[in-house]
Amino acid sequence: MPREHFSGHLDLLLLAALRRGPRHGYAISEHIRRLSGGRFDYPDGTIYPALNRLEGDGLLSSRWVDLNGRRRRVYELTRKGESAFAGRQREWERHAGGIAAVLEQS
Amino acid sequence: MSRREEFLDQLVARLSGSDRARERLLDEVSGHLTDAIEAATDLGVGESEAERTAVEQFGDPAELATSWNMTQARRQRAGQRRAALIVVTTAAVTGVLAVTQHARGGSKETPPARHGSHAPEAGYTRWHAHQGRSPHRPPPGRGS
Repeated sequence: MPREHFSGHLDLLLLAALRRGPRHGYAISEHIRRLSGGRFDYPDGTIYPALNRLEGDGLLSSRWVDLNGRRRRVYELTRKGESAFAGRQREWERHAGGIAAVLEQS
Repeated sequence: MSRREEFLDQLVARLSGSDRARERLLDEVSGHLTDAIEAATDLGVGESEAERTAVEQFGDPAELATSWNMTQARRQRAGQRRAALIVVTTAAVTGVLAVTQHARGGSKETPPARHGSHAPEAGYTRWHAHQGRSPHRPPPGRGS
């Protein structure tokens, strides 16, 4: 997927990656890369400003934790973030469903 | 200097904002690179190659810094707006309480002496009158 398309969906992918619990930046990036089968070509650094922005919007919270003797900053969804994810997921499904319907029936 | 150190140096040179915010990002990026390098070396990739790949995969430090600086500035502006809103709300609530209190107290007659004792200037002027001199004149024996 071209980088500009990825950027448009980055927020949704980040919220989805944190849906099942807190993760640090590297783990988030690896999660997206692994589940997408490497379809997204994006620099890892892209996620940090986006995480910072989502935290500023109150959708995520973050804290430093000790993981096997290493200090890592982990992010997790807030209640507002959970609600935002549910809304954006529905929006994406409607959007993708609409495009698929047109593609299939044309 | 290693590739990783070079990357972090280039990044920190372009970051704006508070020391705390910059340190936070640097610590996160450094941890990310450590994990990426370790994951590659665990798969048998050489240390040097793993470092090169991790740094390249992370992207351009200038682009990251620009993007990060924008989000930080946005968060700071949002924080300032929140602080301003708190000040305005507090002032409004204080004003309403003062007006309410004044309206309730307005029907009662306040003793003049007590009322006067709450005025600092009145007390200050009266003390000088008691001393037999003007509040604006220096005491005897002082001044030129």
